Amino acid sequence: MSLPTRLLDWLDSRTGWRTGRRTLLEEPIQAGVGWWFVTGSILLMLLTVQFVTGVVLAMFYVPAPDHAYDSIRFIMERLTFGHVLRGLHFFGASFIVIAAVVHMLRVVALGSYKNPREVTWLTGVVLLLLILGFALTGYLLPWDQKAYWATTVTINIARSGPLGYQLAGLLQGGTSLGSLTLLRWYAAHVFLLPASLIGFVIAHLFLMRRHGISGALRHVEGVAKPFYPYHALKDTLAGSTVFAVLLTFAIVFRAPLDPIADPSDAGYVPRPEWYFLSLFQLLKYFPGPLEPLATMVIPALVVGLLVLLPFLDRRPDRHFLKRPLVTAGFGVIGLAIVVLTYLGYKDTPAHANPAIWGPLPLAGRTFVRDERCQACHTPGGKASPLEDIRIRRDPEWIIAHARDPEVIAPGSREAPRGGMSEGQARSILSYMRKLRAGVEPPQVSEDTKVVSLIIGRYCSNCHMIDGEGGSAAPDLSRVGATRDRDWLRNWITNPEEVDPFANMPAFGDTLTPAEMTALVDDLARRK
Amino acid sequence: MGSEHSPTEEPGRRQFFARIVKSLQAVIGAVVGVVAGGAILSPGLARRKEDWFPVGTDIGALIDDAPTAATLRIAREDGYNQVVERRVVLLVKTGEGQVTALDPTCTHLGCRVSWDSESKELRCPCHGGIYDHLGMVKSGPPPAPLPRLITKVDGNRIFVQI
Repeated sequence: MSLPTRLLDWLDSRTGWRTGRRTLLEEPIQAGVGWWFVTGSILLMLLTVQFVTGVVLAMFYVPAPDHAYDSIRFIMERLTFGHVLRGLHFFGASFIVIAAVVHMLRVVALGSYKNPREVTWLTGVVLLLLILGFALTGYLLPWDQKAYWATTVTINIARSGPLGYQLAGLLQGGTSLGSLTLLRWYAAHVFLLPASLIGFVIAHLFLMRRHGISGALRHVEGVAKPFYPYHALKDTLAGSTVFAVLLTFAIVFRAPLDPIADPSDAGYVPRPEWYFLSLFQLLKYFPGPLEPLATMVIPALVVGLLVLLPFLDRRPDRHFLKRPLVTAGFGVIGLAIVVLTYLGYKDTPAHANPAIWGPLPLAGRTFVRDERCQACHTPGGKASPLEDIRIRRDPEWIIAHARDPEVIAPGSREAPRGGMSEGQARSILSYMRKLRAGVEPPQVSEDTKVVSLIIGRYCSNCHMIDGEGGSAAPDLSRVGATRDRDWLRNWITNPEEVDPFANMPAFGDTLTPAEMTALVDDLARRK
Repeated sequence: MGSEHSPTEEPGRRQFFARIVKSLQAVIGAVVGVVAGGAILSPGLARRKEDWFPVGTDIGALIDDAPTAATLRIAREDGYNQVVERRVVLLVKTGEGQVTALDPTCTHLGCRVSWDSESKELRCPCHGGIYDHLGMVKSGPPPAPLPRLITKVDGNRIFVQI
């Protein structure tokens, strides 16, 4: 006998692992248990993938507002297979929600929750709620705009109900949404929920084995066969297919990451993940004092119905046509969720595409090559290269620093003289934001480059353009819709000739004819 | 499928199914393993990028045949973070416009050596390793001379490659 066999024999004599394995794998499965009964195994496979990827992500993630976002960016950009890793975890969450609902619908459709499987069903309902809990706590963790605002909304919903003040305090952990909130949601996501999930999964599987698989609706002739490898083959084939789709998602689509959480940004329109979109949409139909209906009562009723289902529907009939009330009930609720999700999705405004570079970041990219910046921000220099540091300061600091480096960094004795204009400082800030968002600079034409520099240097001191710039003068983003080329040229050359009370300085002497033409062309195209 | 209806147990068929199950599960395991393993291993195995760093000391300030300690500021990536690392190098003027840079980390067990101007030796405080002014071992346990760093001189300024 070979050494490994002898070792395994010895281990078996002390632990009985072979009997244990047989008990696990050779459960007799009656004839007629078909492909509908693979949904649970798919969930188990997805949860395992989520567990493994979650543990690896936890090796790199830092649950602190100062670092969370950067640590996620590090995972996405620097780690080998990092974006696949996060992709598997991110899309895996959606796959699990879908798989859990499909599994539940299968159980409902085949009446598998009935006597004696009521408690199996109840553990399943708890598992569904735990999965939603994972989803909710998971999306605060990246600390991006979506995380911040969706969590703000969640906590305020909790505040609106009975004992709301206490509940919101429990969820928030501090006087405002911040590091204490992030830490407790993290703790829930990686300790509390996984521990509960594992416990309930074991209970669910134990009960499933105790009562056996409910099987086909009508008795099918045939001998029972062991689970492994006959039914295991179906489970594995279905699981592999789902995994292949998940892997494709993780590789092809980048798991999204919004700009970093910014409590001062009023322009961001928060939207929850798709699986909470129906609840989000429901809120819109219950304004004011009726709001708790949407936030508490209706969800509580749905969960209550799920819990009570096996006790309300106690007749032995399993075919869904013989249980019209249950079938209709799930049909109505299911349809309502689908319709609400669709309406919520349609109602989602398009976010500004971070991949598009407006004139300011383009100009900022040139401004930071200025020797006044490069004097310090260089490898081995007094300050880190700008490309490396990204944004760690608030916008006001960056603008003030770009305008006058000495003011902000009094230690740097050789601070360059003469700062930049407000518009240039804003441009640099805007460029740093793009860097922070990890967006590659586009290839642009020479004209666009020239126009960007003019806008960055002069116009944006007062004018807003593509959402960035000053607010003292009209927004130029769509100026071409109301003004034509000639008017623009005359106005920019000498505003007082067009309107004697004009406030704007004349740029006829500042810009070369070529620059003027490029600028006027660009502005006239903005419709 | 239809295997459920088969009245007899077929060992060949059973084995074939078992093999498919095992292979597919192995593939899923391998894919997750490669993704997880890549992420876990890659940061530890990554190489640092080399770059030229200016030394704060001018070449004129160096003394012949005596190492001068100079501190470099090196902005380095530390995971998701950027840290500024301060690193000491020993600069020795070895001729007109020529500088040798030594890493002052003792090759024995990694303590920091320093210049003893009386005995004109580089001494390690830990286990008595002694080097000459160019980092060659004179006595004690060090197994190798102090590592040299590549330098270049541009006008008065000295750059070290790290």
